[in-house]
Amino acid sequence: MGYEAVRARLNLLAVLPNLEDVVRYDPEAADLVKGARITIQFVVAGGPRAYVRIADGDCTVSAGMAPGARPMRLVRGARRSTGGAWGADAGDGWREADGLSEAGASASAGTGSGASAGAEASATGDAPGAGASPVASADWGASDAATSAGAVDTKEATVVLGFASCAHLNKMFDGKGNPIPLWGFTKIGFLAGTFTKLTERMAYFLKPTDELLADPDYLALNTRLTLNTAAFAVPVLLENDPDCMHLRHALSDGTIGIKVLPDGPSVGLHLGLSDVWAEKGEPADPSGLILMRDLPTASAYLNGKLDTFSAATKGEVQIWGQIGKIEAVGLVLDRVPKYLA
Amino acid sequence: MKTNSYDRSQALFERATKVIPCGIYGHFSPAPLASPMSYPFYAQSAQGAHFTDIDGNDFIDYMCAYGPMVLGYRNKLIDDAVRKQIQKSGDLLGAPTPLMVDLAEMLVDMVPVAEWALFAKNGGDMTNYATMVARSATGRPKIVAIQGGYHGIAPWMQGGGHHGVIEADIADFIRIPWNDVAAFERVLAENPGRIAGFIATPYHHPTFEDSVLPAAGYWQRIESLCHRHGVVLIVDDVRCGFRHHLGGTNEYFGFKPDLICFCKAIGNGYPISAMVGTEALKAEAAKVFFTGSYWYQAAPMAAALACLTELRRIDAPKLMHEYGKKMTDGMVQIAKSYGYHLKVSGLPSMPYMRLTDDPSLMLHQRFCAACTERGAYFTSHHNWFMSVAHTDEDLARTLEIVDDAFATLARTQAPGERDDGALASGAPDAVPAPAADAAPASDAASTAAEATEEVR
Repeated sequence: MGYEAVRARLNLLAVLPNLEDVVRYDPEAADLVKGARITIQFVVAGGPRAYVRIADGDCTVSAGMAPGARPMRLVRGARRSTGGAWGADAGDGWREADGLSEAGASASAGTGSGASAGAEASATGDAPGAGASPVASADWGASDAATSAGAVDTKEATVVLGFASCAHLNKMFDGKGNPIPLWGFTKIGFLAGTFTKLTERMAYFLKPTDELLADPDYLALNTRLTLNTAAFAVPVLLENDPDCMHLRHALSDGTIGIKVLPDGPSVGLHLGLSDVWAEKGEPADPSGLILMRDLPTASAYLNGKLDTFSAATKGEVQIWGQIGKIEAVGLVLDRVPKYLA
Repeated sequence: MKTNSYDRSQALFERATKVIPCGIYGHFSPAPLASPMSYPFYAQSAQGAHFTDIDGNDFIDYMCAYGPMVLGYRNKLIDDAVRKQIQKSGDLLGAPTPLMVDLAEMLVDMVPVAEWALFAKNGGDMTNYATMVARSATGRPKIVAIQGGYHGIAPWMQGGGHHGVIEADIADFIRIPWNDVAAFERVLAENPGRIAGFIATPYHHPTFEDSVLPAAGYWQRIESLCHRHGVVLIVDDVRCGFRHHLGGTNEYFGFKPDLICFCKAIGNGYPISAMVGTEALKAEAAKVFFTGSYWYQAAPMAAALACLTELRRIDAPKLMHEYGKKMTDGMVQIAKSYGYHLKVSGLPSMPYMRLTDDPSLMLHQRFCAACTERGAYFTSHHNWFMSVAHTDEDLARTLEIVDDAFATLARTQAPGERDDGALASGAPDAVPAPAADAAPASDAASTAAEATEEVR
């Protein structure tokens, strides 16, 4: 899988879920979503899907298509007329395939058939390029989830944001591109205002400076988000990164818990024969533990500023249990900055 | 029982991290030792089967410098041979010394497969060279190795996903499971005329896992397949060599490879490795360019000549096997007396031990750490090594330490918690309770004493 395709999966499945914690732990973000009720579906032609649901002051990010949204899968090939949002004949571009529903579990991302990455339109996921006209190359075929059978809440607006390619999505995450609204035009105001501010808060907490890290509250949330990103990146990289795929056989069973001492945050990595998935919080019965002494140590470790062998020897980072698997996880984590630096 | 402290080791490590990546790198890195704080980082001196760290703590050493120490640290016989060579003739001279020929002749005499020998420094020099000889001899590109098998640190040996390894490094190496003849047959069928060599250790001794002996007939079937398909059979005897059989560990398991790589025990700690081979591959070995700046040092060759002579004189594999058997049997008994289950795998002179009560290995890590803090140097991730320098007194002391460590283990709570409670607040309670049929703790000492008596 190409660089942009892997990065797009990381952005949607490892970075975007941080919105949950930003809303939960940042008062400014919490204020932003107060009273809002909306589902924002991200759809990448030839790439992954995920959706953000904001309701009752809470935010959840899930892989796949939102419950109630019309099953939608984009494939390259001869188009058919769908009467979709753009209603244009896209010629030999992307078209919607039939019958795929892949709602993922909240706050989880994984490899294997249950993950959003299962909805693929091409082998590489890199095409079409960001420079291609979205209209010409993509036939989104989206329908209004709120009015389709099984919609979760008729009062809950759904916005569908389309991206012509993985590179297009990545540009948006870099702050250099905009999505294509495919549905829910009446909510453009929310997207341009509240949601943009929300993502800016997330970006603020994900891009530390030494000065910002000196603030204990900032350090705590930055570390939490960075830890989440790292954990949720593991299944994505094991499934898609050419180097990390070699490590998959070493990570076929058990659970690795990663925790910042003394009180968290924590994440768990569940290693299964057919899939690997991450979750926030302390896992039960971990077979391996990575325990970081405190928030500054965790911050340095997760931002690649720590000699981990030295830190492990000095007890700054303790490793217990299935250390062979922990070493393999460490190799995967080392690859994250290649995509998300 | 008194436990060690490591203030000087830890202070020196702080200095080291400023000028050395990892502080201590490679297989001597304390990082995989759980917890490193229970282990010494720097040695000051050594004698026999013991070493003393820079804090003055004494250890009965069951890692033996990860294998090279086989006759004991500062063994007079070996050190005298080295001193004599250096004082009378020098070490690295303008040409090889006659010792090189003497050593090759000795290996050809000792090792039934050997019809020639050559020398380098590390095991990895030889395993890499062996694959080159195999490719040269067959004109084929691919090498078959075992999943989890360790052959050194060259890119192909480390495998995909490790830093500094690129796809091209591993493209022609195929890893198959240990003890799986059918997998080798499949690889041969899928790569007709493309497999140059098959490389494996005599038995499977990965890290963090039980060692696994070859299944009945495994090696014989592999040998037969190699012959039938013109594949060079390479045994990596770097770790096992001369600890199980003086003719090569393949003799212990009853098969004949084409090439054997030795290192570790050949020179009792002096830097030398060797490869031996069959006559059929001698001319091909001559074609593959092979050299290194220090590969002709005479002193390590003098050490190897003296070491091999002594190993043969005393039948060292038998002694190490007996010591390992007594020690592991004694430990299993003590564990049982506390309700724990200690599994021994591999051969007794190179055992891997694991407490099966906790599959996560955290319990086992705490046990090894507790023993090391009390003076028996046990690692939890790697097989141990016996030497002929381990004495009955060492054995008795080791079993006392093991008993005390189990007694402590049975009292403590969390896997990350030290006796002083300094570590891992927040670590989950995962230590299984002793089994209901455990003997009273007071019986453990007598169990250990019985085991000691048996040895005496």
